[in-house]
Amino acid sequence: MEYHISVPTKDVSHLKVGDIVWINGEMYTLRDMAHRRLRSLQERNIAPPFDLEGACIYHAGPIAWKVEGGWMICSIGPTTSGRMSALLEATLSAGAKLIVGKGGFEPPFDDLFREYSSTYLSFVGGAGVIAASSVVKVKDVYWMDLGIPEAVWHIEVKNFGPCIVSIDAMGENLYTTVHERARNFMKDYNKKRKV
Amino acid sequence: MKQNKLYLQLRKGIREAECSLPSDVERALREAWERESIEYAKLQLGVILENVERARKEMKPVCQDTGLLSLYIKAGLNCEICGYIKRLFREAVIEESSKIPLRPNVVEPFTRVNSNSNVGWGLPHISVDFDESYDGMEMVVVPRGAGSMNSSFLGMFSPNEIDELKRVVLEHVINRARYTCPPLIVGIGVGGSPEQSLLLSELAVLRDIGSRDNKYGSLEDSLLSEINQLGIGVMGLGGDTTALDVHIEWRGTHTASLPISITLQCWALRKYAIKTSCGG
Repeated sequence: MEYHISVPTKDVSHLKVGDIVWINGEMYTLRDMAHRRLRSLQERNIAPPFDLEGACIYHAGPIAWKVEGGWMICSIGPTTSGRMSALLEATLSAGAKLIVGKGGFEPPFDDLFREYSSTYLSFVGGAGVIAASSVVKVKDVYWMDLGIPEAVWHIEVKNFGPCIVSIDAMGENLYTTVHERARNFMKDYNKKRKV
Repeated sequence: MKQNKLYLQLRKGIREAECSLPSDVERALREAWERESIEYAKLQLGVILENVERARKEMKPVCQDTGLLSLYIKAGLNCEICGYIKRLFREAVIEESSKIPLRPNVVEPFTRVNSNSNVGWGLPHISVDFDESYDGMEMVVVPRGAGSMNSSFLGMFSPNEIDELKRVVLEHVINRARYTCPPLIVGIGVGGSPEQSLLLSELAVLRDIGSRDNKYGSLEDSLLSEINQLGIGVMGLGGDTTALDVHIEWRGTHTASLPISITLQCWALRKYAIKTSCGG
């Protein structure tokens, strides 16, 4: 199935592994340092300066430059989500419903998507120019002291995609399916070598 | 005068490397797209090819991770290799970082403070080798992103483990490929000293796609075929092509050692070679 989704959103339970998704609306970029700061605020019961209820999080750090009256995004492909495994719950517990990145999450972290009824979408790593072409504008930027890649960019996008649903709210994980097939190949390979 | 010419060549090298994917890599991606049978993989290869085309046309970086910029110098005969090259490369990186622009990636490793210039704390790095059979000097500008660098591997194996080479490579690809933006170019360094070994795997990646080692080319072929049988595919979501090519670079090593290094290069293999006749 192919879907056009508006974010923020309340419910993504209809999305299933293998579906193609195009995103319209707002996204927040968060990577390593922003996750750490968000978690640290949560531990002290302090609200971050942005609202993640129903939000779409994008694991990415853009190439951006200042222009009159704001910022231009030149390139904004996804980064490796797995680095954020231990801090994934910081965004999901804050209400994030969609997470866009690359590489996915391994068990047991992928189970958090089932627990929080959220969905993980894969976008093509490196396709920063294509991604940037769907950014309509930069609405705001938070935590610039972390540097351009690590800051939180609040962007508005139109037809961001194609994204592939790779971990759904039922707990299906496409990466795990692919990984297990490769593991089975290795099992046979090792058996053959022993003969 | 000589320094200024070199500086401009380096700036052009950075621009070309960042914005224009080498033709051998683009051709290999296009061939992978043509023969791909899995729907997600073909869709994503199509996005990659479109991205490559637009980056070149609009002179924008191929990938938002514009990497750490390194320079690999091969110094032959009749060339002047001199201390100022490091300063010129540094200045060229700073200039192009704001002109293209590039993403500022260089941070201090303990505090993670960003230099905002893509240089600093000893970067950029330059690697030099000498070759008497070469006339002039070749400088290759290589930006490498973190997705790719984070999957680098060096193992010091026992000399009687050479038969494990293929298994080591396959296991590493299974564990790391999905995080490294496949289709990959797999570079393998065998032998040498430990620090040389990692460099060999990096040089292996930089060889033209389709090129074969004179002695161990059939090993490169069989590894390529086996890696692609893993079915990891584009971005780790399944597909026929996990690697575009496999290259092995090997050197003599210590009788009691077997260093094996692996560099998993993402599809955005960026390199641009500058040839000069006399250091300027």
